[in-house]
Amino acid sequence: MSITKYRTLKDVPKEEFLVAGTPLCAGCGALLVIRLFHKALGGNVVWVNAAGCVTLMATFPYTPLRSSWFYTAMPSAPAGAQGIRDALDILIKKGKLDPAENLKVVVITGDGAASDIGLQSASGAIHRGLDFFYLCVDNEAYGNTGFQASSLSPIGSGTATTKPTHLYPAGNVLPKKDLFEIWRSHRPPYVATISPSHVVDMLRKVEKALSFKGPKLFLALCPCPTGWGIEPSESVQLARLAVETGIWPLKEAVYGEVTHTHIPSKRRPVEDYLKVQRRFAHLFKPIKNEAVIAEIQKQVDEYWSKVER
Amino acid sequence: MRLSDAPILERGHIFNPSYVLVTAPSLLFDPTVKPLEGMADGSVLFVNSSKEVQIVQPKKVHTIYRDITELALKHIGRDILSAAMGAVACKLSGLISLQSLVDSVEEELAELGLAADLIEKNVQLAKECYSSVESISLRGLDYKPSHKVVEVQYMGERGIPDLLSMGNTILRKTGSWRVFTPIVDKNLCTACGICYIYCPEACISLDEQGYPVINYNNCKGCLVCTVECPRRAIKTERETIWS
Repeated sequence: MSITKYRTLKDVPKEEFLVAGTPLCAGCGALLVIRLFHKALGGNVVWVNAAGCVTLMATFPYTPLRSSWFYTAMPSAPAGAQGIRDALDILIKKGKLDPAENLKVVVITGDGAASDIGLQSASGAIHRGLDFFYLCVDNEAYGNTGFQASSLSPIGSGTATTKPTHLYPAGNVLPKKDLFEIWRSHRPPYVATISPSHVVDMLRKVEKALSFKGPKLFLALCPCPTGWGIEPSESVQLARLAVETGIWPLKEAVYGEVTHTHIPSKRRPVEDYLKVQRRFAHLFKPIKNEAVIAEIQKQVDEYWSKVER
Repeated sequence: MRLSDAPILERGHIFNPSYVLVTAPSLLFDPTVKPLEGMADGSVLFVNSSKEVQIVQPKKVHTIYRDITELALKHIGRDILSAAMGAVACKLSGLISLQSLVDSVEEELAELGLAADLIEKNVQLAKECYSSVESISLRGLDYKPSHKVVEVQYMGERGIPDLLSMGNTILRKTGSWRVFTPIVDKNLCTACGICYIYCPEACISLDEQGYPVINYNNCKGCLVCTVECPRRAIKTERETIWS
C-alpha cells in the first residue's frame, strides 16, 4: 500500500457528513458504511441513490446528509450520475461553476439494484469511463420490500422468496453473483470490497480511489439486523465474522490487477458466521444440514486456495 | 384493518380510523407519520407509553396509555409487540373474545415456525394485555366515557421543517425507539474512541479529552457501542426517559 494518512482508528476523520435521526433500522450496517465512506470522501459530494431501503434515510421532508442527494428509479442510478457529471462538466467549461465547487458524483444502490435491476446501466457507465464512484451496500436481499432474494443472496439463506420448504430445505439454491468480477471484467481504474468492521481498510481504499479518474466501484457487505435476524448490536460483529471466516474477502483491483488487502491468517469455520443468523437457522434445526454447510465451507476454501499469499 | 358484519368492499388506506394504536409515543409528533390524522370526535387512541403525553389535536379522542413494552419484556424478554398490540386492539373493539385472540395468536405464530415455548410466552403476553384495558364502544358520538378525554387544539403548520436545511433528520427524536439505553462508565472508559467510530447513527461525539458523549435525543439504542467497546465500559439500562 502506498503512503496513506490512515494508519489507525485514531486517524478516522472527525468531520461528520451524516447526522442522526434517519428512519433506517437500528444497527443498520449500510448506514455505518455510508457514514464512514463519506468521511473518507470528504465534502462536495452528490449522492445518486437508486430505490432501495437506503433511500428511506432521506424521507421527505428530511435528509440526514450534509451533502446533496438525488433519487432515481432502481435501474437508472448510473444514468442519473452520468447526467449530473455532464451537467457539472459543462457548467465548469462555460465558466458558470467555480471548479472549486465541483462535486464528486457517488452512486449508492443496494444489491438488488446493483446486481439485478441496474446491472446494465452500471455496465454502460463503467464502459463509457464515467468519472464517478459506485457504492453498493449489499445486505444480500431486497430489504425495502420485505427481504426477497436478489442475485446477491448467498446459497442456503432463507429470504421471503426462498423460504426453506420440504422441496428446498436449504432455502436459496442459487449462487451469489460475483459482482466484483463482473465489474472488474470492464477493467475500470478501481474496484474494491469493503466491510464496516474493517474501517482503516475502507478509508485507505477510498483514499486510493480518489486519485483515479473514471469509475471507482465499491462493494460493501452490510449486515441487516431485520433481514438477517440478528440483534442490532451484533451488526458490526457479523461483518467482522464474514471477513474472519473468509466469506467476505477484502480486496481491490487497480485496472483489473487484484490484490487482497487482508488475508485472514487462520480462517474461522463458516458455521460460526451462519449459526448466529435467523436466515440460516434452518441449516441447524430441527436437523443440522451438514451437506449445505459443508458446501458453503468448500466454496470458501476453494476461493482462498487460489489466493496467492 | 376494517371490521364489519356485512361484506367489506372498500380497499386501500383507512383515512378515518375509529381506533388508532400507536406503538411508540414519538410517532405522535412525527410529521411524516401523522397517526392522529383523520380521527373523529369520540374515536379511541391507544399509546404504548407509561406516561401521559401532551397531545395537540383538534378532536376529542378517548386516550389510553399502557406500557406494553414493559409487559413484552416481562413475558418474552424482548420488545416484540405484535401479539401485545393485537390483543389490545381486540379488547378495545369489544368484538373479539379472549379465546378467539388466543387461537389466532397460536395459529399465526405457528405458521411463522416459532418454537412452542415462544408461542406460549406470546399467548401469556396477549392475555395480560387483553385484561389490561377496557372495551370502548363507539355507538354514538354522545357516548360518555368513564376515562379521561383530552381537549386538544390545532397546531397549524408549525411542525413542518425547513426543506432546504441539510442534516435536518436531527429534528427527528429517534431516541424514543430505545428499549435499552447505553451509558458510558467513565471509570472504565479509556477514551479510545472505538464507540464513536462504530456508531451507525453518528450519535456519539468525543469531548475535548476524547471521552464519548452520547446524543440521547437521537440514539436508537442499537447498542453496537456496547458490543464494540473493548473494555465493556458501556452499560445498558431500561429506557425511562421516553417511555
